[in-house]
Amino acid sequence: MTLKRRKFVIAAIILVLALGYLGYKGFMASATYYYEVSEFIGQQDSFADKNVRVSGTVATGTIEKQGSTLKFTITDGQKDLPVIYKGVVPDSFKAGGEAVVEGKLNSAGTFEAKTLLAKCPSKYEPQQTGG
Amino acid sequence: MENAGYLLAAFTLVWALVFGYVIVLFARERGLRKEIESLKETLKERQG
Amino acid sequence: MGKSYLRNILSAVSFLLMAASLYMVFVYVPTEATMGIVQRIFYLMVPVAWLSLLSFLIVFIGSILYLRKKQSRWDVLARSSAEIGIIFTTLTLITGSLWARPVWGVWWTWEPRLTATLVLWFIYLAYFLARSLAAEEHRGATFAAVVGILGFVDVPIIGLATTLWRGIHPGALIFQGGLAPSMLLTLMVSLAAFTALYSLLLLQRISMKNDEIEIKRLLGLTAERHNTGDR
Repeated sequence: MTLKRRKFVIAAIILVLALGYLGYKGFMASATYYYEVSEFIGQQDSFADKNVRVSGTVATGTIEKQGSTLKFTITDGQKDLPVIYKGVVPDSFKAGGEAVVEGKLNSAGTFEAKTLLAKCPSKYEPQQTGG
Repeated sequence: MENAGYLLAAFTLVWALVFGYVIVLFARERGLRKEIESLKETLKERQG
Repeated sequence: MGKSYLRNILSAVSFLLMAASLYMVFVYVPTEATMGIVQRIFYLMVPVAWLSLLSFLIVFIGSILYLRKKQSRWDVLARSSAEIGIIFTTLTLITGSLWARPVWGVWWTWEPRLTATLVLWFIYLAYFLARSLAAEEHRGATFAAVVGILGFVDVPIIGLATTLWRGIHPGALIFQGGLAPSMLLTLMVSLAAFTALYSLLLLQRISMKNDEIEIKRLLGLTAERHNTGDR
């Protein structure tokens, strides 16, 4: 009955995995997917060397592209966070839009992002003709 | 227009898979029906 | 046969709705302002995600009824819906990933709704594996039914994920008037098309399962007659 036994083990592993993930999800509910800018700045010491996600609105006029490096500032209306990022820039990224950056604060006080995610618009609107 | 590739990939994949599944289901059902018919025939023969 | 007639109608309806949906998605509906043409994946994404949840709802109902009434027809309903459901959950994950890459910049991120959908995929898998745990049909069906009932907790989690927890998946823009009328219409037609398709697939799969059961029965009879009858 080795085949049956193996199936049993696989099934048990899958079940445990599924339940484990559910537990992880529950844990994630208390941990957070991202922090707001003020929350991050307020607790920045506790994040010292950890990879964190911060979300904020891209402040208008702060976007600078220097070669492959992108610089901008995100804000939540109360505090600002300068960000520097190298990599693929998502289409939805623009001034005034929301972005989520993942990375660490560097010694100069700038957030070095490894990942940049732009939030989708909360409304879908038809393009104005011309394109 | 650059992201047309993703759009195309998504639609092609979904349609191919769904269509494929539909075809497989209908083909297998035909096979099953045939088997039922032939089994019924065999039973009838055995009876008579 | 009544069932065949219904399936034929469903086939025709599905085909027409699918054709209408394709036309609307590629010709009728306007391009979205921020995301461009790739936003049209939306009209695929919502229907397949909806079906992955609807399928499990049917698994849930079938599982409860099977445990209550012990009639194999409910098990047939549940396992047929589970098979369709895991396919659509796979499609949900793939479609979502193909949309995420250009729009968010990543193929995947561990945010609540995405993670919960991946969990759903594993729950579907667990449903099938639980069945094979038992050597005997009825016990296997019972194990599967238990997974079908317990696993259902993930469905409202997926549905409410964007309101309960912080994440990056868009929220309830469909219900909050975030869609232009032509877009809403296109979405409704697409949803109807896929739901009709789901119903067709479900009926088809159930019919096949019943055929398989019938074949087993006939084979049993054939063996009997063979043993007791003339050669």
